[in-house]
Amino acid sequence: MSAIERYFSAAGFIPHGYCLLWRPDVLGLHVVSDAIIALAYFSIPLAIAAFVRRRPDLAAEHRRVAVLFATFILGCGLTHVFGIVVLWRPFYVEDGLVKAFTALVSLITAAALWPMLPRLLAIPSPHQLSLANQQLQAEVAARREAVAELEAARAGLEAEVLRRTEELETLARRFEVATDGSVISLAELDGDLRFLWLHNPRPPFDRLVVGEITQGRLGPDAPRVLGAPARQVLASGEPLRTEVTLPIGEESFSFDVKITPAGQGGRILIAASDITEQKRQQAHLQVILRELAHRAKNLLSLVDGIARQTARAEDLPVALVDRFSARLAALGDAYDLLITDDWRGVDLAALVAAQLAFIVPELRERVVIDGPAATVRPEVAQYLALALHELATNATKYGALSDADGRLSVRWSVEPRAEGGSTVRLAWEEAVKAVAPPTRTGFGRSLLERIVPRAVGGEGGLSFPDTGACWRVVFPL
Amino acid sequence: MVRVLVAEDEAFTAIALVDTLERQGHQVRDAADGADAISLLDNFDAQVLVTDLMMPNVDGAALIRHVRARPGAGLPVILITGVPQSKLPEDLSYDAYLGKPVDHAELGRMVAALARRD
Repeated sequence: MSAIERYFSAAGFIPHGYCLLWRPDVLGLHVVSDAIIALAYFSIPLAIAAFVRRRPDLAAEHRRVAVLFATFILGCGLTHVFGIVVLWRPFYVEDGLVKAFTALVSLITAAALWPMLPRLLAIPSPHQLSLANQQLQAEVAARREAVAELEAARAGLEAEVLRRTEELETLARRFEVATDGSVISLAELDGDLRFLWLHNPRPPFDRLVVGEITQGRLGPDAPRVLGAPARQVLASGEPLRTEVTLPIGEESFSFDVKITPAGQGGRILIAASDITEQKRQQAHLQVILRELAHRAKNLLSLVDGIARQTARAEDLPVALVDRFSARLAALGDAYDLLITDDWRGVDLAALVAAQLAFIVPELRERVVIDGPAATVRPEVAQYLALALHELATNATKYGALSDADGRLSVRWSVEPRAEGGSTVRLAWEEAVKAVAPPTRTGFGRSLLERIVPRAVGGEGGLSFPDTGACWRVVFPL
Repeated sequence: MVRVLVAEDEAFTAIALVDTLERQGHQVRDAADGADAISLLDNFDAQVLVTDLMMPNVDGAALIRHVRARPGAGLPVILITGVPQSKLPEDLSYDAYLGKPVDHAELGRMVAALARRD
């Protein structure tokens, strides 16, 4: 018999039942109790195994503890099985070995369990998990509420975007209806003056190509008349309005151009209103106006010629015709000034100077002409010209300019009127030693006292104080 | 007495100018347009030319250019026209300007002054 066989030999041992005197009731109590305990112990590792298999998320450390615990419980179960066996068979060595194995496993389990205790304690309890779960559910509910609010806000924003998009589309449609086929060309340019967008391009803008720097297609003057102001707007950020003319070949195109910065991207918008036809019409009108004025003056000349021939045929005094002729010439001088300013009006100082232009240089230093800038209406200018001619002629013949020391002043002022507009007060004042008032009422006096004041819509009067002739007239500007 | 050539297409005006200048003692010849005036200049040694600007055939500007290009280019020219002086071509060479309707007294003074200068 080997040493191992001797160790496991039960020779000499008696079954444990002898200790219980083979009393059936005590034997039954032990057998049944140990069997139930063993069965219970064997079922626990199965439950642990089932639990571990169904919880693949368990940490490796927890799995190890579960295996140790299951082994320990299994060992405990085996000790109770041997408790039944040794009642009838004296396998006390095997029983002891099972207990030793169980003791070893229990020690390892305990050794592994104590260091893990803080970490196991850190595992939330069901109550804590329940609270956390409730909190999470509250948070989830809050988030759902927030999401719902965001959804509502998003829906509101989408509706707003839709509304604004429709508004913009309406505006764009109105803009297109308003500008399509109109005289307004629109363009957007980048900082390099590259055309990015063109709308309703009128000639020569229809030669441009979007996406290219094509100012050269607008003629040789384009870089100067259009490029320079565009760069000025890019540099200053201030809008600019200018009138440009683009000669291309034998054609010439004129535009009223407004250049505006377009946002922050270094872009500009150009709105060019085609005024080419307007310019042509203006030029044509000026030609017609000048031709009419020229014909009017020729008509005055014709009237002068007829008057002279009539006077000659009727043997009328030459002096009469000369006076008539001079009055027509005065009217012609006023027409000259009106034509010069395209019949818009006449500068009062120029009108006075024109009627005194015939005065010889040595007399001019005795004449003072003084007054603020004032533009008189065309219908007023011709009557004032006649009046000033009459006064100047008389002054050289009988008044201040016929006397060696005589002086003449023509002064006027412009005063605002309460009802709007302005009033001109003009005074022709002669300063002469000896004055001889006229003894009869001739054309000149009638002109100055009645005709001119009435024609200019004002008041006037001629007087002859000791100092010489004085004519005053007040009329609306 | 000054020899004056008047170039004016409108008859009443032309005759009035001629009458005025003759009454002032001048010797006057009149032409109906610029072409007529150019022909007359070959046979009439004018001391002063009085010319309208707008005339048929050869206008006043062409007549003045002709005068300035021929011998005796310094012939004084009095321009009479309905066109204001400020609107006249800048290259038009004339010695005196008189707007229409003409101030006949002023015309007499101008003719005398230009003849003296000549």
